[in-house]
Amino acid sequence: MAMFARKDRIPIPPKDAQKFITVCQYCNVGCGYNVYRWPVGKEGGLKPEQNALGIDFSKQGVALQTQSITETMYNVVRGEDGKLYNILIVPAMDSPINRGNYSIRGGTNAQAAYSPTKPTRDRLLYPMIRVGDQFMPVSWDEAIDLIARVVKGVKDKWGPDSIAMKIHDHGNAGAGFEDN
Amino acid sequence: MFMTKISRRTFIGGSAAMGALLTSPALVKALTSQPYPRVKVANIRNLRVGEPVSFNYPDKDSPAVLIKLGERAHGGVGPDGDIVAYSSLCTHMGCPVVYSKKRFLCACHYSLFDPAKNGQTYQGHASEWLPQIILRFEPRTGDIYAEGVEGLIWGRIRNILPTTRTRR
Repeated sequence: MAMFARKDRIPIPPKDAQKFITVCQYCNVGCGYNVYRWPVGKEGGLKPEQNALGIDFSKQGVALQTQSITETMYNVVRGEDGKLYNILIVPAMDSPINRGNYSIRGGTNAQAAYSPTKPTRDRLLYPMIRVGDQFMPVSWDEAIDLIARVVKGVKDKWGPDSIAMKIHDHGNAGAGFEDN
Repeated sequence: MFMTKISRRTFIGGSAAMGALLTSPALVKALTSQPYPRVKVANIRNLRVGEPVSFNYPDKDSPAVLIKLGERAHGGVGPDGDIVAYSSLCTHMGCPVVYSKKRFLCACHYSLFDPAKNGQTYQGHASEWLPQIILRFEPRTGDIYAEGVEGLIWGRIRNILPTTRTRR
């Protein structure tokens, strides 16, 4: 018996599955991924014209050429409408960055998608402040008040030039996702 | 699921118990969703520690490797619980993995898998562990049968293709 639940089949995305294009949520290489989303219980066929990926699933794939689909790329999530959806997040063959290749982390993008029945439900609900050697949940008012007083204290002591703010997603200006 | 952490002791204890349980065809059915064929893949008299045996399972397009590791392994069968088999297509992009020195190595992107630990990836790009083949050992004859696959074989969306010859 496997050490964790394994799958020996994955539902096939039907022709009318929703398709989204995304970028890997992990490192700043910025690999392209395709997301397929379709209702649980619905399934496409093995023939290329019967599924959203256009792949002939009745045959064995060819190493380094066929789209990689692993158990980790599949998950079930709950949609905004409360219904369950299958999702498949696969490395994009047509992305100039990864050309269908993927890393050990990128291959798990689907597992990290929010699902109320999976470990991803354990999300932070409150701001946390470090007190001694542990984090303590506090209200938003308390957290904002603390940040405001730290920022003002720094400004009063070292002047306005002592404060800088940097916000970015995957790398700084120009060093991230030019190709995406 | 590479984040799963299991101590060596837990896993060896568990695998010994599972090895005994796996002789039940009902359990094979419970662990898998497809109609797998039952195929004789080796006889224990022809096995030597560290010498891999290649075969195809569940059909000719799916290469697999059986190995007598010389140490008790997860899902291992035989008197020493050390005989295991895996799909030999790397779960990353489908290149063949090669057995050497108690590990499976893929030469395409250098993924390494541990045959004693349920095929766990411990280096490289593969997000998923190698699919392990469920084996059954017949003590009377020494024959070893393949009875199912746990995990998705690379290059497939279902382990059993329309052309696979199954029991049904």
